[in-house]
Amino acid sequence: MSHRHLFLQSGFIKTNLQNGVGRFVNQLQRINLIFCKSSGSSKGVREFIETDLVDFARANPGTVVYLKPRRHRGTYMCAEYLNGHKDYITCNNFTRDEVRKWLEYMKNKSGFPIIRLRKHWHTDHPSIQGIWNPFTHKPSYLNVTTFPEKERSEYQPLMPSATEQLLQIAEQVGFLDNSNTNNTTTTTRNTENIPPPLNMSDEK
Amino acid sequence: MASSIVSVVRRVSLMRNPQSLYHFQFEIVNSRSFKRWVAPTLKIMKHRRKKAGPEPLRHRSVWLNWNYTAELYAFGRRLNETFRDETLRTALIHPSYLEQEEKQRQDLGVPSQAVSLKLEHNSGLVASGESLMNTYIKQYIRQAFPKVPEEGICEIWEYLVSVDVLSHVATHIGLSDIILCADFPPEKITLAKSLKAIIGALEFDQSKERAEYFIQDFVITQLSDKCIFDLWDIPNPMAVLQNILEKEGKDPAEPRLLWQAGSNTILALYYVGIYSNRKFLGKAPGETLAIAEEMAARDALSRIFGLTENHKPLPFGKQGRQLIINNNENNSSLSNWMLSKSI
Repeated sequence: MSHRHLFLQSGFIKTNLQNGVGRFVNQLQRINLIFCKSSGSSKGVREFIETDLVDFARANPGTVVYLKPRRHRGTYMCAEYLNGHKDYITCNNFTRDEVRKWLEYMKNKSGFPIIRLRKHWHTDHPSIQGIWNPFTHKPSYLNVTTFPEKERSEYQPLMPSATEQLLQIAEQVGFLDNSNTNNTTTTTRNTENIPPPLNMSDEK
Repeated sequence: MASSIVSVVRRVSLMRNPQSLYHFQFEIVNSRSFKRWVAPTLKIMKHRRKKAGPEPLRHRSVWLNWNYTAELYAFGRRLNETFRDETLRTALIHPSYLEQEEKQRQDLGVPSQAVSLKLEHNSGLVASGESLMNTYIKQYIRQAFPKVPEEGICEIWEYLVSVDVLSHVATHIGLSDIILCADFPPEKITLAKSLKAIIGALEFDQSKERAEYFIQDFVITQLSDKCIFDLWDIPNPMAVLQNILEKEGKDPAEPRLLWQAGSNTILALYYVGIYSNRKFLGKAPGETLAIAEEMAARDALSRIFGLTENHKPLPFGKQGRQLIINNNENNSSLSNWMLSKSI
């Protein structure tokens, strides 16, 4: 955060009227271009008006464009947004291309003033599980369990052991006959939640 | 204090001249000085501004850069809707505007036959828009929350069609600048009526379906970040739960203390679960036993009505367009609510 941003108000990202949940509405309501007909600093704006403005208006029928010639004054653009905010940009000595770019920038804004975002996401309900308490996610059957409990004390491996993987592969290939498979089922542990081993048969 | 280089006209010398008795010679020089007038002037200006009060609120149309026809065209295109010009103009004219205008004409001494403006106001469109909105919102909520009893549906509906919500929507789609009414700034009720008139106009110009999508996209989306139990308060949740279980012929709900921690401290915590015939219904923590029991009953109800925090999001956008509303009947009321019927 640079020194310039110390005085920016901080807040969270927001939209006007849940925009985009139903349909998207461009927030730029009106754009006013204020320029001088003769002064040099308005040259870029005048050129923009002569060449690109009609295209802009045609591409954005939801935006009303007003032109305001003001004799011997500085040139600026004033954007009015649906949330009631206004934004200004001084366009003195802008080239035609710069005017086009800044207009595009104004068009794509939500209209809320620029703020320092505290986080890049925001939710009105930060916790779905509710306020934490010592018993959050604790299953209630533990209340009637006597400890030490055998099932919960056992080591539960994340992956099957090398022997088990080999036996599984052998079973898939059909290497083991029925008498042996009975034997393997007794030796292998409960592998319900264990990811399957690499399937060697695919490589053949 | 502001200081700068200013040009000062200085008398340089005084000398005798044969032509005139006194001849002054002047020259212009740059000299550095303090602008001692700046601070006092600003102080006075600020004082005057404070005395005059804030700038009076003026309608946007007061300014020179205002084109009502262009504004109307842009309004429709912005929302991606096509209105007929006459319908949109009618939808935006409130009866109070016509009264005001006619009174103004009378006061100016216009002959009585010329006083009438021959403009139609939006009362008809408001009525049609209102009835469409009322039916569609209820149908939509019933479809989205099939297990919620009719009382809850009515509360959600009441929130959505409240003047606050509708006026908020109307302002933020840009209606407040273009409506014609006597009150300025427009009152909330006027804004809400304008939105209804716009919906009525859309139904009149386009189709009922387009108007319904408009309601879905702009009004019902206001529900997207709301907790339903904030809108619908159930006064005695335990009694309601008992009532439902009794009607089902099940055993009465039985609150049980699952855990407790820190009793007799300010951070006391009781965790209560609710069971019916050893079958789990709901559980919740609370500061006291009574609060925990009530919250657990609420949790049980939210599970029964399908309103838990992880319930399916409402169908908007693409899913909203695919929504087929086939349920024209009311959901059953809380007194007749049956678990089996709802599932």
